[in-house]
Amino acid sequence: MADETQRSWWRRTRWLALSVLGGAGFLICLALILAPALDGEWFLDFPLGGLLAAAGLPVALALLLFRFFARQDDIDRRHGYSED
Amino acid sequence: MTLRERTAGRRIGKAFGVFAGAFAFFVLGVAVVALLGLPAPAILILVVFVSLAVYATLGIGGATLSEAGFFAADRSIPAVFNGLGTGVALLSAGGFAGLAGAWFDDDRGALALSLGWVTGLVLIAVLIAPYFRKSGAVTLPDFLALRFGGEAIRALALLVLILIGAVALVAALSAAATIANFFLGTRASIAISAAAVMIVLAGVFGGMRGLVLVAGAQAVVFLLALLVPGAMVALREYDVPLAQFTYGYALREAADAGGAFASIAGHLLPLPRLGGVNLVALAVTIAAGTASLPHILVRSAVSFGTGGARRSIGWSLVVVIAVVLTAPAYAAFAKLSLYRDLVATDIGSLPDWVFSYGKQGLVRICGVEATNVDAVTAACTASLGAKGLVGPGDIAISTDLVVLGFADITNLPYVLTALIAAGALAATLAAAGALAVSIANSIGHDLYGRLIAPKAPAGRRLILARLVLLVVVSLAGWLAARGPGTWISVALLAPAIAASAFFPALVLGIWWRRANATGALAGMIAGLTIAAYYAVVTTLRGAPPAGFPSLGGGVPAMAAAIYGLPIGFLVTIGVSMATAPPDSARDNLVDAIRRPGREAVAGGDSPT
Repeated sequence: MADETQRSWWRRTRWLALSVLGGAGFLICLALILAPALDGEWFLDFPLGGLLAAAGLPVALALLLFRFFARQDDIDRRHGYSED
Repeated sequence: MTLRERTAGRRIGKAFGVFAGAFAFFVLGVAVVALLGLPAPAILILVVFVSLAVYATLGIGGATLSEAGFFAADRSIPAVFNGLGTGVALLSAGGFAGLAGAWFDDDRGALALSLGWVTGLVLIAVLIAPYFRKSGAVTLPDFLALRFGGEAIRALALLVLILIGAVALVAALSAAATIANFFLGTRASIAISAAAVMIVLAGVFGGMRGLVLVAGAQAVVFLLALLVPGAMVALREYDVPLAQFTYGYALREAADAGGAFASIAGHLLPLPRLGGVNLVALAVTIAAGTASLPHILVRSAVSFGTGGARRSIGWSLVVVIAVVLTAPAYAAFAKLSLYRDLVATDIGSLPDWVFSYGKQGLVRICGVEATNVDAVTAACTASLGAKGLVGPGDIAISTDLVVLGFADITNLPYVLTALIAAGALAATLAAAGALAVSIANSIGHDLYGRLIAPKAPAGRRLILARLVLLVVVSLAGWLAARGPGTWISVALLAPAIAASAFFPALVLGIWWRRANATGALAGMIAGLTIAAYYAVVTTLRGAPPAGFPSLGGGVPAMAAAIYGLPIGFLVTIGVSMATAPPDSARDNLVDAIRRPGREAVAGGDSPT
């Protein structure tokens, strides 16, 4: 069975995963709801809705993922599981 | 990041940085020689063959006699290097050339596909990759058998892996034939044979180790081919060498010009026309499918540790983001050039590429293939009158042409056509190599090494895996040569099948310790059956089977996981709850798989 350290690590890891996936879901819903409404607007000569869905959303998801890496490394380190 | 990973990363990074610089310098050199009169075919052959020679050299140089090296690249591949190669293998030629074509066609399927790839990589990184790496499994069936116990789940997973892997491999070889025919006019059988030789060279000597080394070089060529032509157009038109930030001006100019071009469905990414709910269904299918594709998932096994496996997927995402951001730019720049060079232009003054691609059936004007000035003049005179000028609606180009013919359409030097050819081939070969090695390793490791002859010596397993690779690639080549067009459409079903069969078992196996072997097996069979039944009936009949909820007027076959996924999850959970929970040994194994670290749980093929 897992010891207390691993249980604590798993609790934090699970919450982090849930918050990342929840955040990703929120961003996707937000972009898909806003995009059609913003398609008539132009920003720097881009149709704003298209720009938001086709470029903004993937970049936001990538930033979220790299932030997740840093947070997970931090959780691993604090629980003595660092691979360094 | 470990010290070992940092040191190895620096060493490999330096080597591939030198390769990237040398290849870019070589292309530049060819461009200079081209100015002195080097003929176009020589330019193309030089650039393509040098890239192929590098892949062959790395494949042979990656030779290994160790089982850990052959099946898991000694678990010593730095995240950046592994991730870039994996990203290219995920995208294949469809991602490289097909996505821009879909944007050109204003097809919203392109958005669903982009979103699906990106979300799928987020799902792998968060939910699966580190735990797959920690398990020590070297194939997807190996992971499921380790987590749930029993060989039935290994056998079923192996069967599904071979089925979808083989179809996707044949499709990748078909795409290689399409690309080679487009650029070199090569016969399909010759192009497929050449691609098969390249795949065998990448995998037969070094297995996963050779494949990963070759994929690194393919990623370099792919990224150069993706970024440089677009940057050149952006620099020429808007004084900024960043296509991703400047294509808005081209979009605006094209929108102001008015009218939409027609298009001819391409071979590399034949997406169905979608809207509304079906777009969401496709995005969900691609996301879960990306997270479950055996040839992508297995690349997590070659990283240094759990953190490395996560970061490796992050770097795959960087490649996908580069494609997702660049593809609309290719479409916008191509449209702008068509408006400037073709619309309201005297037929006699149309650029030469119109007729050279027209002879291949890739350009139609006034409803006829643009084979020569006379044919186009006759057709346009009949439809528009003697003095009629061609409008955007009278011009149709193949969606494949948007990227493959980008340098010609946008008046870039021919050397960039050669670079695009090398990039398209790199993407196809990366995907085909990953698929072939995934099938061969699974047959060598799971079928022979675990199911048929568990006591067979490692050497014999390696020989078998190498022989299987030869046989699998030969068979796939034989099939591809017999019907190059059809296999790519069939392969588009692979993510739906992979998602429905594997995703619930993978996710619940890691995140829900109560999931047991009976539940996982039942969930896999249920998800697979539902998705396969829906996809096959919809494909053959052209209409969804009775009894399925009609979402958005009928979900396309390639989004069948929208039905298979929930059924897979529900059956896995229901049957697991109704049967005995896993024993304490299995419980401990789940804890071991979850615990971060470099040491693999299954030590058999692990060097650590």
